[in-house]
Amino acid sequence: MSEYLVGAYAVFWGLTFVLVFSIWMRQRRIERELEAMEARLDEGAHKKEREGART
Amino acid sequence: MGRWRRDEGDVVLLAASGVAVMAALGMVFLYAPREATMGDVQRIFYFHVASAWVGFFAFFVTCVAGVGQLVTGARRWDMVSLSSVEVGLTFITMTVITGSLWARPVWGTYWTWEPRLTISAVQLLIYVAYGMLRASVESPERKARYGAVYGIVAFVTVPLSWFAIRWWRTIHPDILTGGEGMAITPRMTLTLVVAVGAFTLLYAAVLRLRVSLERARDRLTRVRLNLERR
Repeated sequence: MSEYLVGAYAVFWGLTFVLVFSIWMRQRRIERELEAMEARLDEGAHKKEREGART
Repeated sequence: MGRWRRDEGDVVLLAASGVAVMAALGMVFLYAPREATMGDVQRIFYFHVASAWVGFFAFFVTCVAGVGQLVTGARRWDMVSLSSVEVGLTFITMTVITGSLWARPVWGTYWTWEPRLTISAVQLLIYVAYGMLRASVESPERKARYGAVYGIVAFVTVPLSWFAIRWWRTIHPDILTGGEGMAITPRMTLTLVVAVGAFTLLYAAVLRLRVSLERARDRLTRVRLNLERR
């Protein structure tokens, strides 16, 4: 089989993989950031609740 | 939480496109006959044409979403527009590289500055510049508006690329007639149709994923603003 044919189909799989993987990585990074921020928001809300209970 | 949450539609579409691409691949190697003049290297043709189709279609979607964005100002049109450019760029890059790999044994060179190839190279650069334009603008509203106008204007490269082989003297074959030195049989046509269908499905699946990434980005911005206000 021609090396050009193998190369062309390798390019197809390679670029498709890179595209899907890069979307997946960016999505994961955003999810992680969201988790950290939501945790900070929850923490802030609990702090306010505790302060409210004291006064 | 913390994991990439895909809804059922994403999974079904991704699985369906995977099956369709594998079926197309099977047809390319097992069903389509060996082309008499070029031999096995002609089998590049099926995925080369299918990726070009998806690239063109993605830029068409960008153009339509650009019009939608300008008319309604809704963020969802901008999400589709941006996502479609990214997917389209990947497929046009695929088209250019696979085309070069096909040209080497057939034309004796990886690249020649003939009309279709030149327009493809310019088109690639124009859509890379779309990303650069968006990155250079701070305001999200202006980013969306500029992106929409740019996406509409840049679409002119698609009909230009399509008609290049009809308007000017070129060595690039015409897929509708087969062109010089390539005899298209009914089995080849059917394989091409299946490959184009499979790639269109793959485009829809990847576009959906890319749009959900934009949605997650918006959610992150909202939470960040919420946190800053406290």
